[in-house]
Order: sequence, then structure tokens, then C-alpha cells
Amino acid sequence: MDAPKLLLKIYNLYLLQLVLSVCLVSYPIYSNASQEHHHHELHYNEIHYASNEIHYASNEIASSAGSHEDPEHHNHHVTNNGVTQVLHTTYSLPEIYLTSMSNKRTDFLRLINKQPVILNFIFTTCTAICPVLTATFSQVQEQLSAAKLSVPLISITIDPEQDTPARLTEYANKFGAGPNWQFYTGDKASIITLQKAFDAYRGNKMNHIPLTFVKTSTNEWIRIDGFASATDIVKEYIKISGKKK
Amino acid sequence: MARNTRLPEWITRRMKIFCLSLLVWLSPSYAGNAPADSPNLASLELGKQIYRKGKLPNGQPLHAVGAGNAPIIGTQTTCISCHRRSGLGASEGVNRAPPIIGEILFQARTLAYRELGGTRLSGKGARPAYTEESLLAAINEGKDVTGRNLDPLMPRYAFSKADAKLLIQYLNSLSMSGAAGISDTTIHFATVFTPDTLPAHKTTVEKILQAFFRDYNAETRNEKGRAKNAPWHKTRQYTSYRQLDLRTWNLEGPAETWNSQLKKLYGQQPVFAVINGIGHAYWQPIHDYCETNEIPCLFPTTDLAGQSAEHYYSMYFSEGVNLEARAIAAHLGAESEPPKTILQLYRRNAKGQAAAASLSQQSVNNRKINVIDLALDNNPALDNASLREKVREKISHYKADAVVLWLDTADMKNISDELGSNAQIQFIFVSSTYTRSPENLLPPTALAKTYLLSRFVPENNLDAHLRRFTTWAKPRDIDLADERVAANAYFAAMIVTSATRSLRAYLTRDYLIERIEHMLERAVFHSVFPEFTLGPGQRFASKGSYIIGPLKPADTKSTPPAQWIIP
Repeated sequence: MDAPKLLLKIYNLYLLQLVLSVCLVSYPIYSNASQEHHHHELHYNEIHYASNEIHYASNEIASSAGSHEDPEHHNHHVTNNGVTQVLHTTYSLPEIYLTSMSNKRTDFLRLINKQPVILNFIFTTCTAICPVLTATFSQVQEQLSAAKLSVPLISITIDPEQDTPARLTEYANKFGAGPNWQFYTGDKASIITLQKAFDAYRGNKMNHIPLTFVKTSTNEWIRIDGFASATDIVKEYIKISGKKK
Repeated sequence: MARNTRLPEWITRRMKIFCLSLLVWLSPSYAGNAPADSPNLASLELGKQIYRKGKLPNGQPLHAVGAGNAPIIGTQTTCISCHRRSGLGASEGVNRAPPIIGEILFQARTLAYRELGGTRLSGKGARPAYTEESLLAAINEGKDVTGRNLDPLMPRYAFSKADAKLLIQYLNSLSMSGAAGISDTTIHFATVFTPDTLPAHKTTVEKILQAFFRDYNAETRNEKGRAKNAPWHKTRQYTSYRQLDLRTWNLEGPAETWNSQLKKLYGQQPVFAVINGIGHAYWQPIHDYCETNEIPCLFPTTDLAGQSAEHYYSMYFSEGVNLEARAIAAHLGAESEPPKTILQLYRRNAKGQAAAASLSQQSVNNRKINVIDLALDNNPALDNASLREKVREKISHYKADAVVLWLDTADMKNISDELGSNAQIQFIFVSSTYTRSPENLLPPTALAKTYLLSRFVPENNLDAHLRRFTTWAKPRDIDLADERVAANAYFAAMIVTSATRSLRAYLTRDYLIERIEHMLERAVFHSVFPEFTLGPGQRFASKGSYIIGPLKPADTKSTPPAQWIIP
């Protein structure tokens, strides 16, 4: 092979590699629900292996929200930057017992039965997501009280081995939880079962995601993925409860 | 013939390097690109207070607006909460707090594409270097250096320029390199044994740790060679690869001298972290040494974890006998008819006294139950008859209806008959830290009212629970005589080497601790403990104790009920 041909061949290979690389980089990995885990893994890898840049507000999850859509369910987006998805749905919830802050065994289904509730999952040593979720619940508590609405707020720990009733009480006090805002723990198996029922279980508690659940007096739930503001949560509650009137 | 006056090339090259270094050192920009004045210790401390406690120099708490526009204040707003003590960030689910140390923020982030023959200076993952002004805008307005919105999780603050300067000085003091115990080629670890450690236990632990380290070092994939031609995203992984080295630190003499011995041993070879080791009865001096010198002390085998107001660098399997004492109180607190007076027997040593003090404290908290102590002196020892007499006397005098025995097998044998025949006693608690099979020691009359405290997997499930380890240990000819000691060493080696590998380029002690906090829950092997979980700030991997009982005679086939209690 003479020299110009060899150079041309190398140049072609280079171009091919370039095209392939571009294709790989732009491959849409956030295109459906099952691949959302892939997204999560990528983040995990990024922080430990390759990244030390400031994290940009991500639009990728928001753009994939519709892909969760079930024909029977209605999805829509809230304009708030932190919310990635709002989903109207129902859950088949398990018969389990939780433990209250005063160490009382509590039937979970009875707790939520025939009354509206607003619920989230937290753990007291969580450093990033839970302080925000809990601070938001604190605001929700204030807004509900101002609007003279009596809706129980329920926060359930996903770290039951660590979060004893005493620790939950301390945490609740730190965030000014009133009598209408209760925290619960339970045995590990029950807590995992409950998270699975809400599609909130992510294995290691360090992999959990921000979620808020709003329930009407029937078994209809609104699931809010991401960081909803207190105003958003209260608005969703009023909307869903007003619909029933 | 003209004499050749040219200096050899290697000398001229070194002179050039020296002159260049001198110039760099003398230049005002020696401090790198960080746009900070050289801070003094007082201003660094103020910056640290902002970072760690959310406290401004005027004593006021830091205010911010969080995600969902929730106002947050004080400890909820601290940088350390998300970016962690190392400043190297962390992740929770899909939410990620990036590293924010000065040497990263104030450097442009470019991505080199070796395969494409160039570097990328913009687009996702790349950005220009922050300046003090652009960083202040990021903190206060939530816009990054390129003007893009930061993650909603990042609060929006209202920092003054002066306070931001203090914070930035502190960020500049954080680093991802330079930890003691790490050379260009090696990460040094030590394992520590207190003088009461049995030689056989020491040999087992050393053998396990050495085997693990040997395997780790043998599993090299020519990282150093690969680093030269690595794809961009793996360069840091390969360049940060180090071999692991293990030292054994044998402590001698009284506990008061251990600190100076540790200082001397560390002086001979600084270590990155202390791994496992044994101090069955007393670990406090080693705990103190590690906390004072900010050295991770990871998962020693001890029945009495150290305690300190600032507890960051010591991680334990379990809190030990203190936890057992609290488990008794929690168990009895839930009884419909709890005993009124507990007599607790213990040997007058660090472990016995700590267990007894912990139970007494519980009696203070729970005023319904009195706790009476009977401490047995180590020397001179009571003869058996006198001991039995003394126990009988105490039970009768205080009308005790429960007994807690922080006693080993030999002591228990002496008083077992007395306890069995005493009708006044309704509950007997024994600790598996001291004796594993009380079924073989106590008469049936005593067993029927005896409960075993055990932080460990019940003996009948232990073989299956340890199979992962025993399968590894068998071909390596490791003595499994004491499986608690051996399995602990194996777990410590497993988690510490995994965490070290996951550090990548962030070779700092704080980040090692953060990695273990983050990854421990994923561990599939739990040594001799039933459950492990850690999280930010948690230091005891196993948090509960079984209360098994009432016990049944050893030849009974059915197993007694077991309740896992997290006090």
C-alpha cells in the first residue's frame, strides 16, 4: 500500500471513531422507566470515578417523566424546578405494623384508612435529601394550620435499626413537629415491604430518592417525585380533595 | 587539546528544575489558582465554623432557602451536611453533592479525549475555574460559573463578601492528597493488639489481614502502566493506585503507657488507618489516640467500644457490653410485671465496670427498677463458698428478684446452684460476651428463668452465616478456633480494602470514613452479627442485641424464642 492510501485509510478510521464516539455520547439513556436506574448508576459512578464538577440542574429526569405513564393514570409536571413528576395512582399496601414515637405498635392500614394523609420516607442521619423533605413538611404543617385544614403528616424512617422512637422524637422536635405530624419506625422487614409497596425501595438507604405521597380519604394517591415545595404539596392536596367534593 | 567545560546533561537539567522551582516558589501566585489571601488560624477556624456548624462569625446561624423554597436555618444549612467533612461530596440516590474543595473549584475542569486527540473545555462535565466572585454568585444565587442553574438541592444563601471569604479560605485548606501513611506507591495500615490478646488470636488476625492484603496487591492490573495511556475517565483511577502494606502494633504493659507506645510506632511508620486488631476488654486508649490524631480506627474486635465527645474516626462492629445493659433495661421496660430490684455481679475491671455502670444508669432513667451492684475483686479472689454466701446475703438483704451476670464461665459455675434454687429470683440475665453456652452451666431450675443477651448470630445459625468466610479461609489454612475474632478480621479487611479502592484520587482519611458510611449497608457478609447498617455519623455497624429465652436444657431440640432489641 502506498503512502497516500495509507494516510487516507488512517484518516477514515479516525473519522469512523469520531462518529462512533459521538453516537455513544449522545445515546439517550433516559428514555424509559427501566433505564432510570441506569441514570442513577451513572451518577454514582460519576462522583466516585470521574467527576469533580458542580452538579447542574438536571432536565433529563423531567424529560423522562411521561415515560412512567400508565394508561389509567394521569401524569403532569409541576413547574417547580425540583419536582420531576406528579403521578395520580393507587397502591396495594401491605398489612404491617409500625412503631410510633411513643413506642406504640401501630397498624399502618388503620393509620391511613378513611382519612387523607401526606406521607414521606426519611432517616434521621440522612445528610442531603431528608433535611429538605422534613423542612418542607414543617412548612406544610404551617400552611395547613393557617388554612385550618387538618391532615395528618406521616414520616416513616427507612433506617429502622438506627432510628429508634427516641431518636425520631428528637428529630421531630428539631423540626417543630406538632401533634398532627407523627414519625414512625418498625422492624426492618416491614419497612422494606412498605417501601416496596410505594415503589420507593432502592436497596441501600443511601440510594433513596425524594418522594412525597398525598392521599385522599379514598385510596387515591398522588405521588410527587423530587423536591416539591410546601405550596405545591398543599395545592395538590386541595386539588385532589376538592375533586371528591 | 581544549578541555570540555560543559557540565553533564543531568546536572544542567536538575539546575534548570531547581531554578524554575525557585521562581515558582518566589512568585506571588505560588498558592495555585485559589484566589485567597493566606489565612491565619483564627480565620480558618471561623471558616470551619461556617462549613461545619452553619454558624457565622457574629454567632448568628446561617440562613438559606432550600429546595422547594423551604427556609432552612443553622445545622440544616451546613455545607458539611451534603459535601461532607472531606469536602469531596457524596451522593444520595440520583442526587449528588459534588466536591467543593478549593483545589477543585478554582481549577478549570477540562475533559481530555485522548481517543479523539483533544480536550473539551465546555459542555457537560467541563467548566472554567471559579473565582471568588463567581463562587459567591453560585452560593447566593444558585448559578454556576457558566450561568447554569445549580441542583435544586443546593440551598441559596445570603453570604456577605467577608463571610464568603472565610468560607473560601476554609475550602482552600481542604485537600484530596497529602494524607500521612500514603507514599507514591504504598498505603500503610496497622493492626493493633492490646497485651491481653491471646497469641493464637493474634496469629489468626495477622494471617487473615496479610492474606487479604496479599490478594489485593496481587490483583493489580498494571495500573501504573495503564495510567500512561489510560482513557481520560480512567486516568485518575490508575494514577491513584497503591499497594497496601500492613504493620502489626503490639502494645505492652499498663494501659496508661499505650498512648506513648502508639506515638512511637506511628513515628516509625505513619499509617493511613488502623484496621481491626483486638482489645477484648479495653480499647479506650486506642480510641482516644485515633480521635486526637484523626486516624481512622476501623472495626477492632472489642467488647467495650471507646467513647468520646467527638467521635468521628473510630468505627466499631458494636458498642459492646454497654449496649447489652441497655437492651436488658429496654426488655424489662416492656414486661408487664418487671422485677423491682436487680442484683448485678461483675468483675472489677474496665469491661465489667462499664457494663454495670451502664445498667445502673438505665435504672436512673427508669426509676421503677433498682439496681444493686456486687463487684468481685480480681485479687484476692473470693473462694467459692464465700462467693455463694455473699450472693445469697445480697439477694436476701435487697429482696432482689432478678440477677444480671457479667461473669465468665468459671464464675458462673460457682453460683449456678445458688441461683437455681433461690425462689426469690424470677429473672437471670447472662451475657454471651462472657459465656456462649449457659445451657451447659446452669441447672434446669435456673435455665427456666434465664435469658441470654447476645449481640451475635445465635450459635445454631452461625455456621451458615459464616459460610462465605469459612469457604475463603479453608484453602488458606486459617485457624477458625475463635470465629468471632477471625470473622471480624475478615470483614474489616473486606470493607477497608473495598473502601480504599473506591477512594480513587481522593486519598484522604475523611473520605475513607465517608465511603465506609456509604457502602457498608451493601456488604453481603456481616461477620458474626445479624445486621449491619451505617450512615452519616453512625459509628456502630450492629445496633442491637438478641434476648434469647427462657433457655432450655442443652439436649432439648426446640430453640428458645429470640427477640432482637435495639435499645
